Amino acid sequence: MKKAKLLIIDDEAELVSTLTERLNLRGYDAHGVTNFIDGIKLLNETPDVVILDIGLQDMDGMEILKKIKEINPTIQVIMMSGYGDAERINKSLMHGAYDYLIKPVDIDELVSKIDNAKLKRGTM
Amino acid sequence: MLEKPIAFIAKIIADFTHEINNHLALIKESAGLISDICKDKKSIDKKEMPLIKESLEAITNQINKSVNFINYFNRFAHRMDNLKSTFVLSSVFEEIFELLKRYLNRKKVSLKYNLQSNIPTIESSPFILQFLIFYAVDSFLKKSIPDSSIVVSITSENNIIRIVIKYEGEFIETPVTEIWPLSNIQEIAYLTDISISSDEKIITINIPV
Repeated sequence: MKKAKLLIIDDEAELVSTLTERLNLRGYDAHGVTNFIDGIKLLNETPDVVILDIGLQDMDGMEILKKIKEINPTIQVIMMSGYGDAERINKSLMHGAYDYLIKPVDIDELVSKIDNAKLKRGTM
Repeated sequence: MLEKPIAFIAKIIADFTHEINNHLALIKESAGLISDICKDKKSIDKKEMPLIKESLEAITNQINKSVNFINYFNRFAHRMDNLKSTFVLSSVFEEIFELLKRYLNRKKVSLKYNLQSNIPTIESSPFILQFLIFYAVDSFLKKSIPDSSIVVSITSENNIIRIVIKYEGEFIETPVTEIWPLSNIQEIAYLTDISISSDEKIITINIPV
């Protein structure tokens, strides 16, 4: 299976670059940005999966999730956040997120979620 | 009556743990990247060294930031040890604003404070004072628009320390979350000699010394 095309959106620049590097080392085509304005430009390149931080500075992650789903409902979104409250998790899933991971994430778990999210996208 | 102070502590803990999880995420990813590079290798290529050094530096910086942030939280927690203690106003402000920084950033509201140099030490409840400051900031943030600001000025005159917290900007018409009634907050302030009053965009806290 061809590895997924990924877009990582998180306002922590160092985290974005490190995570992007680690996912690229695993064979993914990963790109990272630190704000939604840059993220929206890369959405035109149709990533399979977006890894999205819920608490961005320029826009609320939940709003971005809704926008991504409006633009292309087949793009799978994995939410990632330091907040682990049930309300945020349920709200994300209700708005179409594929899954929700609490930071710090385990890379193997993230990889497994990405692969499953890509499979789901392939069936849509 | 306890509902509001508990909600305040909950907010501080939630934001604190969120921030620490972010710090740990970077530490974990940086350590993970070093491990990825070293995996199944007996020696490291020269060209990989800058990335390893950069990751080690990121880990050290992040640990230092986390320690600093944890110390603020620890000091905040100890403010609840006694209802009355002697404290310096500047450190109480420094703590609460550091802990509220992310909340302010999220709302895109800047905070400036101006502390007169001759402020005497205070004998009262630092926790209740922090709760009142939080109430003021929170009630503005719930109605704030991006790029507005909160200005705090602290003066001392006639044995009264006056903290004026002023919102500069427009308010949104309908706040999404409930703004606590001032009367509830005043009930809590009555446990001490601190008083609080409110005008539309100004909240004043008076502390007798």
